[in-house]
Amino acid sequence: MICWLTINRTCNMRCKWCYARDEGFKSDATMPLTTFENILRAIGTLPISRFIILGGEPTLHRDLPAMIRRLKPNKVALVTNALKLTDKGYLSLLKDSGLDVVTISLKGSSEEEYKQNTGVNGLGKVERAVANLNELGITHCISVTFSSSVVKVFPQVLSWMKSTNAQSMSINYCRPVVLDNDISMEGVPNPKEMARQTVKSYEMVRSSGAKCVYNFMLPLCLLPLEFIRELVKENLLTTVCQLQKGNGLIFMPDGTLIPCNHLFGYPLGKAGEDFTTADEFINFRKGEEVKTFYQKTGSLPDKRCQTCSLKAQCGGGCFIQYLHYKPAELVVRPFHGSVT
Amino acid sequence: MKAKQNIKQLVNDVLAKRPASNLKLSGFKSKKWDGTSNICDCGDDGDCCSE
Repeated sequence: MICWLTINRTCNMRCKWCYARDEGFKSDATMPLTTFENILRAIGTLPISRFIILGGEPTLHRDLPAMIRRLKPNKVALVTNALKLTDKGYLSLLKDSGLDVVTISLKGSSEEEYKQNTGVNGLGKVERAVANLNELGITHCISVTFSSSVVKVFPQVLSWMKSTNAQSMSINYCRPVVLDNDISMEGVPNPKEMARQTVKSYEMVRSSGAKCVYNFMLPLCLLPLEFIRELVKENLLTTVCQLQKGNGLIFMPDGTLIPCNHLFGYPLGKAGEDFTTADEFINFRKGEEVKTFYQKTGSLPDKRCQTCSLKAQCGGGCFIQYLHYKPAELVVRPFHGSVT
Repeated sequence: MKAKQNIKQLVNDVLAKRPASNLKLSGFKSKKWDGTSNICDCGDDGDCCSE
């Protein structure tokens, strides 16, 4: 299992597309150490392969180094905008605390774009942060959220990757967000368009030599089968999320367990209230309501998917997109060929 | 935009329409770049982070 700990909602950026903007970047939504301990008490004996700390902006949490230390010997990853990682002393502290991996969300390929997207001049700071990560030997990855606008500047993003010596890049896909108790599609490109742009981007990735993985969370049938074969052969494709597999635990700053970071309006339970020990947590997860929920998120969206040869590798993609699209709008056709 | 609604209800309604299945989803997984596991982005892209 993987556990995500959203330790705050405060952020020093204001990204236009942030899935958490409905939460209002509240400075009071910060995980206290007592809540952190309640969570660990409930899940501490489970086979967690990795803890991933995120926010808000987790580097703004004053107890971050202590939290990382407390999570060891498990693997600990941090998802950050990297502004605070320009401070090499602070980054050293995180490393010494046991931080294993850093993922930086890249918000633009120029200072102008950064300012426009986030309200902050951030690109130069990210460059300094990458230099610090390289100097301190910390494994890191640049995460890019794919959209039509990103595709336009994709060659610049790739050359930026090369110039900074960033280790690797993951491409992720923009999805609907819950906003004001509704599903917002603002800034979310059509999945068919994102699939087209994925194919288009690949040649650029190949010719640049960048280490890049596609975390493709759309229905695979939006891509040509030959293209899927190529990505699989080159080991560049990751599909099926934790919500589909039911192997993730996502905790909010107040200890609420949610099924997905896009679904903070769908609480499943709360550490310290609905479960306080590992036994209680296991019983809670096995409860009829939670069990049925995960059975459904792990099922196929459309009857046609049942005959698809890639159904186990796809599952119809991210469930969240079906809060807006009908399955028939996204599922194009079942595949009948193998990818190997 | 659709009319305002309760998100939990919307999720349950969409899930209820899914055909029943006992399929075990495996997914594709890239392990190329750091030799042991790939690195995840924003916290909900799941298994790219697992061992």
